[in-house]
Amino acid sequence: MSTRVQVWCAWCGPVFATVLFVALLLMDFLPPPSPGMSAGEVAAFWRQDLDLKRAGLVLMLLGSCLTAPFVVVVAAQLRRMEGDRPVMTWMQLIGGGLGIFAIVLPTFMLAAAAYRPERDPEITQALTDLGLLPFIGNFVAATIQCLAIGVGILASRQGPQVYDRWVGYLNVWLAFAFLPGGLVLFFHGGAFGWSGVLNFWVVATIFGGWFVVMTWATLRAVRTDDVPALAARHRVAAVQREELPA
Amino acid sequence: MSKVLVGVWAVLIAATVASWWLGDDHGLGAGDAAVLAVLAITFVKVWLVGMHFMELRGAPRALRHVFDGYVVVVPVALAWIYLAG
Amino acid sequence: MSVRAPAAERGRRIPGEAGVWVFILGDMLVFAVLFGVLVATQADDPALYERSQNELHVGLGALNTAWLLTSSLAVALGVRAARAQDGGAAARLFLAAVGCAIAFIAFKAVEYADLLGAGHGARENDFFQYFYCATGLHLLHVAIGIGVLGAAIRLVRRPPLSSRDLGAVESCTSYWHMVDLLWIVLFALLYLLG
Repeated sequence: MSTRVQVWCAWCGPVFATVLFVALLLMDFLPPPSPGMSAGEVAAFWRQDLDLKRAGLVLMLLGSCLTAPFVVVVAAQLRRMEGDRPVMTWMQLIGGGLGIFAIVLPTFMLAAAAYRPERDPEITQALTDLGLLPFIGNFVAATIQCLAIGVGILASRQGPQVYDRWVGYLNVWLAFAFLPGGLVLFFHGGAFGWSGVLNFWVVATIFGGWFVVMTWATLRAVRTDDVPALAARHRVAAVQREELPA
Repeated sequence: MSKVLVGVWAVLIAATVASWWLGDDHGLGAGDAAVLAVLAITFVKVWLVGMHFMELRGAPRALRHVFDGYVVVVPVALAWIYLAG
Repeated sequence: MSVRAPAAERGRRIPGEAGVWVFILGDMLVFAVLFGVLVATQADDPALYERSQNELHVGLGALNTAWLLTSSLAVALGVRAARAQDGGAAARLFLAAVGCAIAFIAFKAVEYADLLGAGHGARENDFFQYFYCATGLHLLHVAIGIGVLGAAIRLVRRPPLSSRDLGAVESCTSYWHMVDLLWIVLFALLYLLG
């Protein structure tokens, strides 16, 4: 396994972010329909350019596949920093895995809203709420993942400095920065609503920024990953166990 | 050294009282002048905390300039939002 | 014997660990957006803003500002003590800062209780939504800050303090000053801007 696969995995991150952006554009979700809209307005929103919106939703599903390789290459590099009990590496896997779910779940809720637009507007609004509340308000995956990366980097004093410490601090900060997303449950508008300047625009910006930083840092880390040396060590061990001819 | 810190603290307390007084429509009357004065005093306080308490005075110039930039850009932006509204 | 950098380098040190400033500046940046939201809310409907603001007790806000300013002073003095290897004084000063923080929280609780008792909840209007959210988020920072100061106290209680220990202490105290700094602006925008 060369480092080439890891490099491809790392690039999946920014590709995902781009796909997500395009998908949101197609769905006219920049920003999403305001939580203050009436049921009639929400129904009217879905009736406009419906197939374009459905295409955007499918694109979200496709894009979310790309988060998996990104998560695991970060895990692989984080693993190099931790010792024998790489708990933060594992926690990052949990957080990253949940991250896929954090996109897929709301996407299907929104898809249901878009599926039969002739429905009673109240139902359409309910389905839209079911989609948008977790889409913006689900900080769980991001917080777990970022906290894992942050603690994994900052608490690892023994292993090689695969990720710079400031990347660790950035991730700890982000873990907390996503928490106010929970406030979307309380408000039907304003900066803390799901389409608000804080809970949508600022969060979207720092979410995108995180991909830029993590991709850059992970590619740097992969470059220092001496996979051929690892392979050589395994080969020597296998020869010693007489599983391979010398 | 500690005397400087206590002195800065005293200035900050005084500035807090001053901005409280201004905000209560006593000094410059209601309206724009009072608001801009409050903004100015507030960010001077922020700057003092940064320079003396956070010790950015002795920090590398890059960090110092970022902080200085913040202390200038943010109140200017806020003043602009206020005046344009 | 004190651990001080030689004179030539004394002007070129990042307080604490460089990485913690990513955290601090990031927070300051996001709060700057929040500040903008507050001013925009005022500019949008000055009468509503002023009316709502009049329900607040400016004195309480000013007193809370004083608590945090004093805590910052204590923390700054504590760092000096730590550098002079006087761990006992440093711990006492940090503890005093924690005391101020607890006072802040107590006064805030009284303020919230008073406002809620008078029927001013977060859903009354935009001003109160932002009042509770902004001060609530800041309160979360204060609570975390108490933990961070606690970590600093633990560090200084175990002499001698290496330069790495001092760096960690400075990281903690820089965070605390940010908490103070953010409140200075929030006080002005929420209590005085009308």
